[in-house]
Amino acid sequence: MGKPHRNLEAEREKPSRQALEETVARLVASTLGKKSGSIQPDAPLFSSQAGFDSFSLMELVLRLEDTLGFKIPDEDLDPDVFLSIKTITSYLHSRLERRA
Amino acid sequence: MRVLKLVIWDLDETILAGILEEGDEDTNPVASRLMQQLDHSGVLQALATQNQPEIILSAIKKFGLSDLFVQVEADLGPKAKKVKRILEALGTNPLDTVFVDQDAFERGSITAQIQDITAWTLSELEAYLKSLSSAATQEGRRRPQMYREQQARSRGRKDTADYTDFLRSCNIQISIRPYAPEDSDRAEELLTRTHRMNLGVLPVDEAVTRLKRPAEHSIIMAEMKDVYGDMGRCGILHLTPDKTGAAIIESLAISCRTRARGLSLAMLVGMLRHRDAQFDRYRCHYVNNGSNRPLRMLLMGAGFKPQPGTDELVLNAERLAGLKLPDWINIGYCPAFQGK
Repeated sequence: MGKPHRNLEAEREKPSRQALEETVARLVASTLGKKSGSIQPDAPLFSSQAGFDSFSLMELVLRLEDTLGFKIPDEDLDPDVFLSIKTITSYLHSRLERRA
Repeated sequence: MRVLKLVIWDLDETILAGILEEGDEDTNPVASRLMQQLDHSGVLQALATQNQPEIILSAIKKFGLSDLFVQVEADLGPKAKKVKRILEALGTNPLDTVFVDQDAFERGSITAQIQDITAWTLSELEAYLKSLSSAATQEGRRRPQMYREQQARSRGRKDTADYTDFLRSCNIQISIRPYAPEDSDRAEELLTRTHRMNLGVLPVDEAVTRLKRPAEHSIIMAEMKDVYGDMGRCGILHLTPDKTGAAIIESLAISCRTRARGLSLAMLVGMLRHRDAQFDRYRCHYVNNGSNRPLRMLLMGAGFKPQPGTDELVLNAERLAGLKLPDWINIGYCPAFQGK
């Protein structure tokens, strides 16, 4: 239910990879109740300390969908996609590339 | 607390006698009375609940509560974040705010994460409101006592200032064991009433019938308790071997009562690691029933990978073995049902 990030909203048609990674990082941090930038882009989200559970993951997916304006299909809910901020960014970037 | 300006309510098992998602729609008469009393006193009220917003908006309208809440925060995320959003939106100081929840874990969780907020049960809120409406001398007598109680809680919070420390202090224990005939009623209840964390492949009747089938299958139960109490049997996993060394998950259900503690992943992984559930691979079909997408997330969190072009998900034993769980969750394995 979070508001779309202003910069990304302006770039919604085709955000740069950097803008996308910043948005993903912000949403991941916010979902975990941590400060933006506190999670390394390649840090595993399902590590014992990250604190991701199915409900926080659900929250993250809903926020990503809300911000980016498309639904992530169930068949793309792959643990290798949601390994880290970087892998999520790669997936979303390729989705947006295909859509453009 | 200084002056009560805002009450933030929990819904399930606080305003409601039961859990909305499990079909319980009776309101708790004590909560209803206190909400009316607060409304007449001009105290702001808000709702923070871990339910989907579209369900909540229609539910509070149905219960006649729409006009009582100045703000409703409903999503599947942690409750503390919703409480923080309410405080921020209303510009209210936590010192003037009470969070009301019948679940002691939730109260402890909120006070561990939001400094200066007060978290009460319905009884504590009722006692406070009674003290306000009593004679000034009685009020004066009660306030110091409540202040002392609050100070004691604050001291406890300082001991668990970090949320992870708080979770560790909860001494969360998950106990995993094989299914026993004595579990049949609870198993049926879990399969019937759990919507978000239910695989949704088999019709409930069929899933229940298969539990009684005398075959070479494995059924695992998970129980949970912490310092706040015993939540009993919260999870069930039903596996049937196929001819390739893999197991097919026929049924999987985890009570939404575990969601506040973020335990669903640990519970699933714990059940899959039970010695009666040792297989090379685990296969399952996921059918979206409109509300069980959190279960799909849970399967992904446990490492289940979608198989292209099918609705099947597969987890291999190696990946399962490599998954690390939080150190504040203690998982114990029992060889058999110990009785209740």
